[in-house]
Amino acid sequence: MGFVVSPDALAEDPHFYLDCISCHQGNQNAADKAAAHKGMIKRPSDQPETSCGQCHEAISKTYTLALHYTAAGMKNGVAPRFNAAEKKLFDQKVFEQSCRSCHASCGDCHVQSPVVSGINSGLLDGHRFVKADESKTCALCHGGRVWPEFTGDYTGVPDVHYRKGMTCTDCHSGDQFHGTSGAASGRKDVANRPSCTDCHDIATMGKDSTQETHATHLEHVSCSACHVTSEYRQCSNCHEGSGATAKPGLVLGKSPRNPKELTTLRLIPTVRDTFKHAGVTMSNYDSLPNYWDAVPHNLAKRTDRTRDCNACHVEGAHYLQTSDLPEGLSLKNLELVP
Amino acid sequence: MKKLALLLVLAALVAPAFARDVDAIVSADWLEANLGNERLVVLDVRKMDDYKAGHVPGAVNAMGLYMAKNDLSNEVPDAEDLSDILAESGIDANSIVVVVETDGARFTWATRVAWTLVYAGVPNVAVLDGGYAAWTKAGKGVATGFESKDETEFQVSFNAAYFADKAYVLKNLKKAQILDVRAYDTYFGLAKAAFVAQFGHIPGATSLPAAWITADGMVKPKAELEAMVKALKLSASKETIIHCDSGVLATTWWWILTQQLGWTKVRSYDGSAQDISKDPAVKFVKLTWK
Repeated sequence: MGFVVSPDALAEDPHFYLDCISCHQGNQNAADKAAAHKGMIKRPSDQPETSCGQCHEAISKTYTLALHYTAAGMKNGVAPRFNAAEKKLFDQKVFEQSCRSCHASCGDCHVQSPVVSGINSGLLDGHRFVKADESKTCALCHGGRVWPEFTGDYTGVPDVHYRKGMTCTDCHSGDQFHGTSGAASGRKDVANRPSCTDCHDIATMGKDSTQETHATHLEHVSCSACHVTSEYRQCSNCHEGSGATAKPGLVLGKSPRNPKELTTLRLIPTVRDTFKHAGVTMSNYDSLPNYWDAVPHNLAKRTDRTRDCNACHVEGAHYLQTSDLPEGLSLKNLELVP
Repeated sequence: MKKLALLLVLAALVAPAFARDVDAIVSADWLEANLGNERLVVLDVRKMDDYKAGHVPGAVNAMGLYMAKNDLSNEVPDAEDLSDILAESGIDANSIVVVVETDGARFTWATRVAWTLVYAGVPNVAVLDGGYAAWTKAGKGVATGFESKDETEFQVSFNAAYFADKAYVLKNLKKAQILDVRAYDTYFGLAKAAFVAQFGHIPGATSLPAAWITADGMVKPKAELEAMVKALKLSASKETIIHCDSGVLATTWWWILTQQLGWTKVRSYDGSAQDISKDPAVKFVKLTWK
């Protein structure tokens, strides 16, 4: 049996300038296990500022306000469905007990893979501190939707960016994960989140006809509406209570954040009694739709829509239809039908 | 003179199936010696992380060469998607492509890719014997990170004679030589994959397990493979359809029979048992002790 922290790791990784107890506490001079482990902290970076923050002060501070740590997007995303009393109850009985338990510590990305449903894949590389290892970290928490869509393991062919060797951090910078200063309320509020146009200058890219097509659609159609190539996961029931079901689908509809834009929509599985088990009702359930604008990470240069204008302009391929709307969900969904 | 001309014409019609600029199975030594060939594309089809951690110098990584589609597990991508993937990998019809999988245990996935390429119109394709494990075991050079080649204009042109769908199988059920390359227990109906609807095998199918092709992760000598086929009294002159559970294993014997032994009338059934077992009109046969 090898050691978790090997002599090689000690020699190579500057973090091991510190003793184990500098992060994990406990008593390194104790002779027996019980005494040595007394006061030990298994996951020191659950509290970033008092652990990693000893050296990485600024980044640990901003991270405590970042979405991966606060999970605030989950709370704020559903909040408009509650009245004030319901919201308070939700925060106490659901968010803190359930959603919030999914926050990522520093170590969940840099030391060991995060725990999902009680399971993880262990240390990333012994106990070495790793800058990024997306297939062992991002892929676990985002393994239901984004990652398998990106790699082609869910349906269709892999995303064109993955085929060219790119992984998460090639587009999503460290700042987005660590936060910058203020508390983010949701991923759409992250100022420096990536955009296709960071790399692709659509004014000059491609043939004349491509530039014309991009210019024509720019204000009305999102990039993903044309360039998502495969069906992606649509969850059709709540992930609490009775359990979730999902099936592949490619859905185009009006963006709930910008009704003038046609975009890819993903069904988010909050049903009317999602939080019933916790005694939380949603008096304002119909104030939010169940479909949300999403960018499935399964992009291609050519798709059925880029190859043939008729796909959208005649056939309305993939367009959300009133008859597609799941029964009993939000009345707001009707507003997203193109 | 007319007879000679006719023979030449016939020979020309038959020849392309055998015309290869590279053996169907190549060794690490051969690959190392040919890395400088401008026509060579080393196609590493392992997971991206494994490829980035170490690969044959100059190799490109490609994914998405088989995919779930139409309720079947392993299907050929649409022509335009496949064209894009191969073109991005720097492949065209003139390329010599060597497919690299993890090791001998993944030989079947290597032949699945190799079959797809030949079916798509790239005739000179080989499989690296023993996969990347054989390359590193032989102490050959290794590169890390991601490499790319100049994109080509390649457009796939499927060779229908290499492919069987359910309609073709049903039409030729009684006259074709059907080879079932799954394990014995599956063939005899003692076990089955969860996604296959019936135990047993297609009536009249002959068992020719894919597992017979390799030993210790390496492909057995050609003469030995040829002897197996001969012992089973299989005929190169008959229309032959190879199937397995989902169209991956089938490509192993397709590869050996067509690309190594020169058979010209062999099709791989892409949908395989996963597809045809759903048809109530096709009653699979199980082992019975008589």
